[in-house]
Amino acid sequence: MPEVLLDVRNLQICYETSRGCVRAVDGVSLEVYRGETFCLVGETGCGKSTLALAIPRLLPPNARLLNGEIIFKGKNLLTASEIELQKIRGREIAMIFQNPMTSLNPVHRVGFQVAEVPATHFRISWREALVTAVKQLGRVGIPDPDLRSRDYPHTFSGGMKQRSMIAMMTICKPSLLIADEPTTALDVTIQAQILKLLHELKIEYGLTLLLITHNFGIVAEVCDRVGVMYAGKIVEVADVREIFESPQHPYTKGLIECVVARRKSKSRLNQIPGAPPSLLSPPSGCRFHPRCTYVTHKCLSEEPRLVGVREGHLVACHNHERVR
Amino acid sequence: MVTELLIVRDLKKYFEFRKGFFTKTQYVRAVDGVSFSVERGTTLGVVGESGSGKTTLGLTVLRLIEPTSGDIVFNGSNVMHLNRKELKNFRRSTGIVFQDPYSSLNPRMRVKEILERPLKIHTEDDSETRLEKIVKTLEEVGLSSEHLMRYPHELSGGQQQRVAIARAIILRPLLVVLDEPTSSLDVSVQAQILNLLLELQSRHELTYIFITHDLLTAKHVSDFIMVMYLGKVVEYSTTQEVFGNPRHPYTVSLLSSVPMPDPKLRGRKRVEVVGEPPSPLNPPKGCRYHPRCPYATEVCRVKEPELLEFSKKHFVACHRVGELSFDEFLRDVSSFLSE
Repeated sequence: MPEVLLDVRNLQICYETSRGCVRAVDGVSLEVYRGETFCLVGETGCGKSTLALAIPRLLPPNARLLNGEIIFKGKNLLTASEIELQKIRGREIAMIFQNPMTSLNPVHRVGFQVAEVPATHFRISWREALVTAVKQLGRVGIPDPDLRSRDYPHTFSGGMKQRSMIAMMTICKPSLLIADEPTTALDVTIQAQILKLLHELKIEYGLTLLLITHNFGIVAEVCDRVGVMYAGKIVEVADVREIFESPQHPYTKGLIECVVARRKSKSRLNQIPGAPPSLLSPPSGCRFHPRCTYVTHKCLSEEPRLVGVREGHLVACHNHERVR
Repeated sequence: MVTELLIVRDLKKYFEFRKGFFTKTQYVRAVDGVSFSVERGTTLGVVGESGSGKTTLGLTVLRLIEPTSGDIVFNGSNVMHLNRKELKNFRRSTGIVFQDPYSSLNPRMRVKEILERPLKIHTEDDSETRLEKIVKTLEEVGLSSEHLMRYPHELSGGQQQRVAIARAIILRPLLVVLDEPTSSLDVSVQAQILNLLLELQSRHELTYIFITHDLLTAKHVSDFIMVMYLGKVVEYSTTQEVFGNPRHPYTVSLLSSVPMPDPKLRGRKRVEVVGEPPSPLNPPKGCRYHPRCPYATEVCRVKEPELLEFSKKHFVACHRVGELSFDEFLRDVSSFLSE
């Protein structure tokens, strides 16, 4: 049995807005094993980024943690003090965001920003921290790291900025690296380079990677296990091959069939009708029922629970046996 | 009968760029000598990374920005020499859909007003006929008369894009430029919009120029594919040829880079691209792709390759086109793509 590094239990988070409480994450439980790459897949507004932000406790002020536990290495992060959290962030749990332009500080040199991380977490001099920073920038593929570390972020291209972020976030060799759509803002050739780099670093440092994406191509290329989210809930968890070969939830199946690569040119794609629901007033019962082709009476009133259908394959659907 | 709806010859668009008052004016060669033609009722997919000039090409072809030089022949007449009245007519028979639907719809106008605009400008219809046409078009794009009085912010991203498509087709144009129409949408909604676009095309015999960075989407909708790199066409042929038998190293590396939605293809052989696209302000000499190309030789550094016909209707701009074989990289991918 693999060791559980991160254990999220029945997590509920809502955002307080002028129009009411938006339940962005509504009763999510999941386990991430040490050394694996776990992918969270879902569409805009399904709560995947909120879940990711909640792990290192980086939620915005209007977010409220209603319920649940986030257990990382045996410690509940939701009850940890701010001082404890500061020791964990960047050192144990690191995070990379979608837009590298907004995650780097424009008024500080790149080398300075990277060096801040080891300078904060280890008892080393600033000079030593800078040397490590330059070394790490070189490791992630920044050419002439010594020279470029003295430049400001705006002189870097999108790919270079994302590399710098990766350098910053891996310099302390954290146990868990959370990457929220790390390549969405980048071109395909750069995307391939960044994914390869993340994979190399994962093996070199023994990282556990929690990758958030909406792209099933990326899921297929890099993940070990996949969790599919819909409207604040996890609807399916399985091994990556299982997900592609025999998806059990109608939503997962629909998403995979939407992907154009499997279709003959110009043929009609299988589409999921409608759009994801508003989380202000989610549908009753199963949240996917208004868009589902397998819907029955039970789905309208009763919320399906996440149950195991096979070893390591969990599904939240009343009718999963009928999904082919 | 001419089957080509649009013929573009040696189209160039240079943007002026000046750093300081006394420095020499430089030019960004966004589109640098592009030639192609599009047959009536077909789709040309334009593929490239950011900075390849694909969006500029789309805008220039419609004369929404003025080309620096070149010829655009649309439906038998040269668009470059139109007077005001003729240009208005040309506008009527072309349409465009942009990437971000929200920023391409006026937030102060209701859906009805947005769709009424083109009818008011280009037709003599009275308000009743206009309304009739608007409702009919809305239904065609999968909306209904209940959306007439909505403002764009009251619609979802997919619905906004449907309104933008309705606006582009309401005058029954011949040519529609689609500039990344699905890139900002969710996966499940992308499929809906692609289905809609294909349906409208077959119903109204529309001709599309489909601009995208997503190779798989381009493959799905296009009859012809044009691959662009830094303002130049590097490969241009039918979709089957470009995906089944690509000949330019850049096309192959794009195909290698695209994450394929099948875990079985994970360990496949790839052509890896090194580095990042150079600045279009100062493109490399010789072949513009040579600094990133794993197959570059001496000649690629000095001489710019011409776009030549490699086999029938398959154009490639590469010095080494005859010698290179990419079979080992394509075996797995192409069986997947031709599924």
